[in-house]
Amino acid sequence: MESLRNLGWKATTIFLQTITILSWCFLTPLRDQNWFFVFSILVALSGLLISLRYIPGIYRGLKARLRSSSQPSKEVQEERKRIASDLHDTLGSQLVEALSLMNSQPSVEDGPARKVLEQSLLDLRLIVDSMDAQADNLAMRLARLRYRLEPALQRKGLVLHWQLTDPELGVGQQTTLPLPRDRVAHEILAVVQASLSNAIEHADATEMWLTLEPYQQGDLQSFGWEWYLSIEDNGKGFDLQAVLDNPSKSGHGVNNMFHRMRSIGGDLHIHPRHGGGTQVLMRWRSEPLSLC
Amino acid sequence: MSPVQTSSCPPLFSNHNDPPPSLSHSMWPGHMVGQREQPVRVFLVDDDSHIRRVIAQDLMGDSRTLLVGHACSLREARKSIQQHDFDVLMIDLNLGDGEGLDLLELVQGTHPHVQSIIVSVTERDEKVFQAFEKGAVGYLLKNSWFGDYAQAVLQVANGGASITPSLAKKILSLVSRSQTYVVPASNLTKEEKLSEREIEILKLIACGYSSPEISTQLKISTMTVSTHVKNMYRKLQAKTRAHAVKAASLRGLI
Repeated sequence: MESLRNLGWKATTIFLQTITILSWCFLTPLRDQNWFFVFSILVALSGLLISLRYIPGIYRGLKARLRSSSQPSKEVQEERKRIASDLHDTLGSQLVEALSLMNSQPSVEDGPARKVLEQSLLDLRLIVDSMDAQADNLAMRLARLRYRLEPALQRKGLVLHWQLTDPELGVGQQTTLPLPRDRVAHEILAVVQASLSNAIEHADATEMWLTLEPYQQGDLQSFGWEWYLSIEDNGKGFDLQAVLDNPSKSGHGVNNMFHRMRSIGGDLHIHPRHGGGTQVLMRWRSEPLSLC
Repeated sequence: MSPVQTSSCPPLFSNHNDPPPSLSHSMWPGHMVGQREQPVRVFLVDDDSHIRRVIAQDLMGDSRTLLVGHACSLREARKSIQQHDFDVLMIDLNLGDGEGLDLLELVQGTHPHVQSIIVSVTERDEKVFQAFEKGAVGYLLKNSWFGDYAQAVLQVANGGASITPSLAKKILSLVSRSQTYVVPASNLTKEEKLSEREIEILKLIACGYSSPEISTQLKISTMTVSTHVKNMYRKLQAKTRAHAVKAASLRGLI
């Protein structure tokens, strides 16, 4: 807050500036007076000084705004990378070790325990992936996710069919619409991870299809959306309403998926797939390219 | 055959945690490198004992690969590499006591036939790129926990190379920058310039497509995809060398 004295000075200066401008307009004889000329220059200079005083504040404000809208700082990114690698190195390798211990003692009744360990390993892999490199576009983040997941999928005998469009690389369909980055990409990726995890762990699927494509202009099915990402599986499917009504963890997880898509102005549909299984369809509009 | 243990590192397998029995790989063609009677020999350098154990288990579980030695530090590796003969070196660049990059240079000198694979936690390490310029042909993320290590060893031993999506994109941006701004495309020799097909393959890898998918899409074999990736690394190294020579001659060093 500005002090009363400051406000008083500012109001007086603005008042004098207004009077001077009006005098220049309507009191023509005054224009020839030297003292009035000098007075006008002084008033103009005081206005300039006041506006200069605001520049640092405006600069700070702009910087803060840019910082809040752009990527996290290098230090934050480094820290995330360090935590990700620590998590991976300690917890990840211990989980792998626990699994290999079980392999060496097959007589133990370890079915459910093994499943929990495998699920933890998968979750950890997804956490590490989402912490590492957040500035990439959605296609690159999906590519990295697949690279990390592929060994686990192969181990389970799951086939993932892949179809991706990346306008930056010129792969897939032609489009000028940019792919999301940062927060939008992060939320979409989280929904993708949850969908894949559901298909792998609960649906008993043997095949999955992931498609990321833009809607073509004039496509009646787009309903105003610009991009879609579809994940289909041939598993046993599930009753969405029953899951949503269930206050347990799974209901919470599916609710979260809807919440994430809503928070980025997108939309989510989960419905049965033709020929059995489930389809998760995410749709969104491209962000306009701007700084803020 | 059992793995050779180096002196100061803790043993890789204790009694309660024996390596799984060798799997049968009847589908492996007879003309490929890595047969049961003559497996691909691997030397492993990593300061993380958990990861060493996981990799060792994977390699010993596959009858086509054999771990002949391992080291947990740069100093240890410098010593024991001289005493062993091997085909593939697996190395983590972030070793506690120094740069894994130095070791790559040493191995290039003492064992010129050896293919090197980088094992890294992150894809964003600047050092990874330098490693490829120093002759590495494979790159594995430590996060790819299951069954990848033996596959990667067999891949590079058979003239292929491995790559990750991030690395592919990084090479693409480097190529487009150098071919557009730094050096005009016409000034690059054939040994340095990436072909259209190689760029196409890089783009598909950067989009997450797997080698079998790329081979189907481009109507080539999976092995050809792998060979293209290796050629790309070779060109990258040639370009780096050429730039180094040029820079040296500009400074009056040559």
